[in-house]
Amino acid sequence: MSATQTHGHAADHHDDHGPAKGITRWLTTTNHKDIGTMYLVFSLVMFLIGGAMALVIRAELFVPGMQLVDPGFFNTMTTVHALIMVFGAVMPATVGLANWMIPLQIGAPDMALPRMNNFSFWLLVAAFSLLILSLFMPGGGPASGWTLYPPLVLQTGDALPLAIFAIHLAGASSIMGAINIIVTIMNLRAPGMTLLKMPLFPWTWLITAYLLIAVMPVFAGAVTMLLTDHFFGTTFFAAAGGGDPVLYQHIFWFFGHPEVYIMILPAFGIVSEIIPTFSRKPLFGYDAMVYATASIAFLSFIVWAHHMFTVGMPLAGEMFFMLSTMLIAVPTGVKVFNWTATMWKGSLTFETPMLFALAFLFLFTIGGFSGLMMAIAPVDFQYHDTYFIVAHFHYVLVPGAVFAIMAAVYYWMPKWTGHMYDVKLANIHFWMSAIFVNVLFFPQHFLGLAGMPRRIPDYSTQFADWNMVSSIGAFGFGLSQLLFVYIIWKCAKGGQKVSAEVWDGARVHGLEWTVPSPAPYHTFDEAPVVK
Amino acid sequence: MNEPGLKQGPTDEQRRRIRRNAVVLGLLALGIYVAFIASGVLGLRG
Repeated sequence: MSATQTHGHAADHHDDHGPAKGITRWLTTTNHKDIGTMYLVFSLVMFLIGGAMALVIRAELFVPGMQLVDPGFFNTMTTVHALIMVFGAVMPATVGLANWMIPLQIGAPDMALPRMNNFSFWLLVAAFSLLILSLFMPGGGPASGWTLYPPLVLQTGDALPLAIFAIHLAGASSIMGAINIIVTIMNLRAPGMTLLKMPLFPWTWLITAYLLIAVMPVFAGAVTMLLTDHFFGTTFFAAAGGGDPVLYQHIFWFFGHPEVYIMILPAFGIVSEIIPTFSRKPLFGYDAMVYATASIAFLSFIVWAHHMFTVGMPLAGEMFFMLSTMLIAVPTGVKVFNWTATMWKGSLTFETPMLFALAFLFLFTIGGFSGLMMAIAPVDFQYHDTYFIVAHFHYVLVPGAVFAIMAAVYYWMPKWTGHMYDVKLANIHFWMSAIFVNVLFFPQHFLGLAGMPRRIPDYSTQFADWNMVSSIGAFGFGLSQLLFVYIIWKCAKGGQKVSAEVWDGARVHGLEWTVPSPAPYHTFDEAPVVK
Repeated sequence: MNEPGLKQGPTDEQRRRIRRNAVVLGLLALGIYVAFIASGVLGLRG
């Protein structure tokens, strides 16, 4: 973005119009900053619950043999851990960041549909309350893996309709959130803020929101059909009645692959904000970054069957899905190149957000490369359903999406709270997270290549050593995140006051750095002018 | 925008566009949902 100028910023005029007091503020608020905060807190709670479930899994796998939980509960943990992390932690975190930052970045006074914004948030709370309650239903929680493949998922007990209802509610919440983001960006940008002047974070979210609207209804359709198969005698996915269980896999992955990009595109946007700030340079190849994001989103619709090479498909189909998947490496490579080129000859400093962004750059790329390996159809037959897959997608989602979210929290938290976080503790948090995440997930590549299947509570003794290392990494990573919670709490309570700009030279990178810190309850009630 | 204290919300024209855009996107999502279930029904009949 070129130089920006605000005039008539009227934040100070509204000191007498603060938020409502008490619980009413949070139940009825239509303020984008309040709703953003609620999404972020909700996501943190879900991150801790989903993380605790991951620790149950890793504790069971610490040594061979059955130790702590029965196999049914282990399967429930793998299933609900994934559902919570995908739909309850990562997605709401990026929606929370969008709520907080998009209006500030595009110069809008709020989201375009504020009441719907409140409703989407509380719908999400209802959805995850139901999902967690489903663990206590007779027969236990859903245990078929987050993909909910039939016919296995149809053996779930009373938890099935509850889990499916929860998924519908979470999906409705996501779609409403996506609509809100699109109409906000398309209608409420400040004068002069053309689409190609918009920062990368709103850009990546605009594209993500279209992806959400396109694929969440597909998943909702799939689980509705599961419901009718289970309760109303239809046979969409039952071979005995003329249906096809593989049809479910096609529908699921038509949703599931774009879902991966729904989680990672906002992360790309975050990193594209942070690297230029701490390189003290504009983003290299801005237009190319926008087009690369759009290309990745488009390609995400035509690669779904690479998740199911082993079900058997015509050679031409395998070739198509193999090559289209490999094609995604091109726009992704453009992004990695541009981030690197942004840093080239920059005046680099390594504040905590930059450390997380750099770790993202290295570690997400490892996840990308292992993804490229799995795109090769004949090779995928070896990797399929092994821990290599688990290692791959965790590299994409943890040091990828989650590290980007942590980077965003450190980057924008001083703007939210008006205080600088505890830098020393934050750097300790970074190094502990960066070390333990590799101890946790890197050995899983070796386990997968050696043939250890995923989603098993017990394993052959040949896999013992690396499983123990991985579990140690998991507990270290889990412990590091308690430090993260403490840092956030401490920063919210107080700390060194920060200026509006927060980061040296940040003002040129976006409108959010032109408003005071903490950002006033109402911002841009008079539109800024962008030059 | 509904909060007290804002000097001005969107203009009437912006409000109309916001409403129209939101309805179109909502219908699009609903259409995709119905279309996928309908394709499943047609697949079963075929």
